[in-house]
This record gives sequence, C-alpha cells and structure tokens, in this order.
Amino acid sequence: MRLAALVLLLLLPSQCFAFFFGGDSDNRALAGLESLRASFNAGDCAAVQRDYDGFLMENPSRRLREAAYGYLGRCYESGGLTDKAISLYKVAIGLYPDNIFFALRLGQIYNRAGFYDSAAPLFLKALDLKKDEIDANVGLARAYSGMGFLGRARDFYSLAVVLQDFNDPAVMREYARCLLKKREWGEASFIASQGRLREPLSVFWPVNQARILAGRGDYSGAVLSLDEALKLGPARGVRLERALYLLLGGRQGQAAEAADAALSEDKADALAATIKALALYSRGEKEKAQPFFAIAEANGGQFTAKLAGSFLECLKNGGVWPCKK
Amino acid sequence: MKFPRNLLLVLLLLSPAFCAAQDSDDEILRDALWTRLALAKPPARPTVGLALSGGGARGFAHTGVLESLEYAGFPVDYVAGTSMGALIGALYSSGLSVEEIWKFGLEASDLKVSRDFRSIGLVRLLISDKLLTPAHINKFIQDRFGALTFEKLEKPFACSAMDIRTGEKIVFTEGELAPAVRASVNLPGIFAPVEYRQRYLVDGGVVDFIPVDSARDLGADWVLASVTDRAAERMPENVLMSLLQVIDIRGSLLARSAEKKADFVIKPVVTDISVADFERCGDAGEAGVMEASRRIDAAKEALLIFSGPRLAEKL
Repeated sequence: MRLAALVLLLLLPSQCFAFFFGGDSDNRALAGLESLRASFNAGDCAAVQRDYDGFLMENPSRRLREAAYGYLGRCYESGGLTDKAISLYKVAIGLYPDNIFFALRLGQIYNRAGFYDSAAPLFLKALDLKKDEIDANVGLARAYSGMGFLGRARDFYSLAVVLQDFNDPAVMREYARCLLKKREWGEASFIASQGRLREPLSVFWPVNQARILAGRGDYSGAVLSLDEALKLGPARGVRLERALYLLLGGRQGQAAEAADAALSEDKADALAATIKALALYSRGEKEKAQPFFAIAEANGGQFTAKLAGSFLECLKNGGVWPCKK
Repeated sequence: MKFPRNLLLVLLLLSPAFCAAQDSDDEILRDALWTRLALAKPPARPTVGLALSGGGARGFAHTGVLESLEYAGFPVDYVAGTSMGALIGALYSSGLSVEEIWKFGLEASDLKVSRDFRSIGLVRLLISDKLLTPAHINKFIQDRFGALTFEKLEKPFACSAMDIRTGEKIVFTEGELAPAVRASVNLPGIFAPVEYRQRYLVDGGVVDFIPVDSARDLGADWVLASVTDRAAERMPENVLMSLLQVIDIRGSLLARSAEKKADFVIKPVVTDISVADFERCGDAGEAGVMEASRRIDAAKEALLIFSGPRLAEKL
C-alpha cells in the first residue's frame, strides 16, 4: 500500500505536486527573492520595497524570508527609514536567533545613533555565535569606546585589527585614537608604526605619533614627527600643534615665530594668538602677552576663550598665580 | 524601545564619535596643554583633590570615576571620602590599583559585607535595646587596613564621621586607618557607634556627604567631587530600607550645598541602585565610568583653565 502511494506520487504531474507541497509557490517565491536581490544589487531600493509585499504573498519559506529581510532592512537604512529598519531587524533577530547579520546591522544602527548601551549586547550575542566575526568585534569596540570603557574597547579593537591583518585604515585609526585616549603608549606606538606602513602618505599617522610622544613628555620627538606630517601636506592645524609642542618643550622663541607666521595670515587666529601669548607669558613678558590673549578671548572657541580669559583675569590681579585678589 | 524617527536621523547625522573627525582648535590646544599638566608635579601645577561622596553600594560608582580619571592621566594629589567614599578612597590612597578596587566591588556579595545588611533582623532591632555589630564589615576593614595608618598611605587621605552624641563632624587625617574608615561607614540607628578616642562615631554622610572642605584642608588647590546622584527613586520595601533612604535623602540635600564648593562635579547616574544593593556594585561602577568619561574633557578643560597661569610660569 505504501509503495503504491509512493508510485502514485512520483507519477503525479508537477502542477499537482506543487498543489500538494507548495513547490510552485516556492518557485515563485524564489523568483521573487531573485528579483529583490537583483534590485538590491542594482541599488534600486524603491523596487525592493515595492516588490517585497508581492514576495510575501507567495508564502515564501522561512529560509527565503530570512534573505529578503536582509535586503529590505538595508534598503530601509539607506533610505533613512531607520525606525523601520530597527523594527524589521528586531523581528528578524527573534525569528532567526542564529543569524548574526541582523544583530550586527541593528547594533551598527545603535552605534551610529550613539545608543551604545543598546548596541553592546547585540554584538556580544553575535560574538557568542562567531568569536572571530570582525564586524562584531569592531562594533563592540565602538560601543565600549562610546560608553567610556576604554579597556574593554581596546581588547576588541585589538582582536579586530589582528583579524583584519591591520588592513582596514578606518578601524586602525579608531583603535589608535582609543589607545591615545587611554594613554597606552606602547601599544599606541606599535599601531602607529603599522598604520604608517600601510598608509605612508597619510598625515594621520605622524600626527598620531607626535601625540604619543607628547603624551610621554618627548616634545622634541613630537616636533620631529609633525615635521614629517607637514612634508605630506602642510596644514594650519598641524603647524600650530607643532608650535604648541615647541612651546611646551621650552622653545618659546620658535613657538612665537610659528605663531607670528599664522597671525600674519589671519590676525584673528585665536589658536595662534594663544600660542604667541603663552610664549610671551612664560618668558615673563606678561604685559606684551595681554593683547594676544584678548584676541584669543574674542575669537576663540569656548575653551580657548575661557583659557585666555583666565590669563587676562590673572594679569588684572598682578599676574601671579593663584591670581585671585 | 521605540526611537522617534527624526531624533534618530539627527543622531545618525551628528554622532559617529568614532569616525575620524578633524580636531578643532580647542581640542588641539586642550590636548597639547594636557600632556604637560598630566606629567607635571606640584608646584609646577596646582594640587588636585578628590572628594568622594557617601551613598552605600551606589558609592561604588567612584571606582568607575577613578578608572576614567586614570585613563585621562588626571592628577590626584589628595583624597577625601565619606562613608563608601571613605572606603574606596582609603583603598585608592593605600596604593591599590583601580583594577583591584573593581575586583573588591564585584566580589562584594561574596565578601559577605552585604550579609551584614541582609542579616539585620528588624524585629530583633526594634525590640532589642542593643544595636548591631557588623562583623563582616569589621573584618573586611580590619583585614584591609588593620596594619595601616594615615601616615603610611601613598596619598594624603581624610575621611569623615559624626559624633552621635554631639553631632560634630569628625575628620580623620592621622593615626590608625581602620577605625576611621569603620566609623565613616557606620550606619546610625542600626550599627552600634564606633567608640574611638572618647567619641561615639557613626557614618559621616549625615554631616559631610561630599568632603570638599576636607580635600581643601589637606592642601588641594582644586577639587573634583564624585557624587552619587540623588537617592534611589523607589519605594522602600521595609523599615530598614526606609531608614537608609531617609539618611540617603538627607545626605543628598546636604550635597547640594557642598557641590557648589567643588571646582568640578561628576555625578554618576545611579538612581536605580539602593544604598544596600551591594550585589549591584558592578552596575554602579559602570555608571561611574560612563558619566566620568562623558565629562572628562570638560574636567580637563576646567583644570587647565584654573592651572593655565601656573603652568605657563613653569614652562
């Protein structure tokens, strides 16, 4: 009897087979998915969103829906429909707990929005499933860094850059910034050297190296490193940072000259005026420093202006710290 | 969690903090000057004091604040603490690394300290005319600080307690460390007063929740206060918790005026953790890291603005 049923099934025409088992619908769903994929790859997210409902009408299998969620979610993201992407990914995470893609995308959205505490558990979940997943390591490092857990961030950045063989400049730079913030000079120097090897023409790495050296109190080394940076591309910010290290290293005369050069281009340059003023002040020429602090107070950003203001206040009260009457 | 679309869009456009952004002039100036300040020793820079508030288990947030300060290379020359702030401050001043202080907090429940709170039998407390002796807390403090005096600490340290008979604030800066810390964490009304040098001492949080003055008296020119945010926003579940919460609220009220005396205040958000939630020390510590790291650049700027003329004189 069982054998006869099997023979009958084998002899059934394909339409009947599809009727009983949904194969035709699956084929149409598969075709729908192919169409979504093609539209997505062509960057036509309008088509992806338009055709998605039709795809669902074919009662696609769980596996096919999983792929479609991925296309639709990314289209929502690129179209700025972030709340829809979040809802979709949340549903997908519930339906496909072993698929790390949805957790990664949702975590990345949260990270970009600064919701680091929502992002971190998603990346941790992804790493539970796949320890060497680069995006999860990077995402978790970013989340921890954003929350201030620099030690934890360091561990995951470290793993990520090793997994990437130090070849992703963006992640390398983030890691370098994290190490600088954490004042972990040894590892920071190592990463800076790796970064320079891979991006020899980038100003970022000699500037980064200069900051490491300055952090260690080696202002002469910092100046030399910024000289290298200036060879790669002269920039006002780098020139003035160099002037600051000259000043902090006790070379007030050279610092003042560098500040003068910047002030000759823009008399209202608050950073240059601050450097000039600090150079004069530290040489004991406090009265001469006053007009430059005034320029900095009038034109500087919040910190520069307040710092200059504190010197002006001090000068009013005799110019000797603690400056209060 | 439902995110408003417009808010998310704005955040997405504005906030990728980890992306390589161009440094502003303010950042270049601040970070360069900070390298100097972080390495300088007094008198090349002003002296910096740290005032750690009370707050029971919530006070463990100070450990997170210490971690962020350490990452930033923030100088700390003097430490003053009250209650949990006294305990964390004493550990820190004794030279224990922040990592080790974290371990102590994460193991707090295992260390049996919280058992002293859990074991408080309310009926016994109400019908008995004797207050309790917190055996585990005593042992913990004795084990850690028994051999130490204030003079042996790596950083000058002060901690506050109150004489229950007179209401006087007692500030310890010399002699044996253990009884001073023990007195500073001694909850009034529950634990028996610590008898020391003809005084009957209880938790300093009632009279000196944020010991800014103590930090200044030690010699600090500039004081950063780490303050556990307001009392826990929850209904106390029993008489003991009500009492603790009243003490906590009273401390918070005192804190408002003390905060104004500090040069910079970091207030970790720990409102969902109660004074006796010692199992949640880790959460409190994490709240400390998050708030301190959010405010650390502002703290650096405040200290640099205060220190600028002194630093420039010593270049």
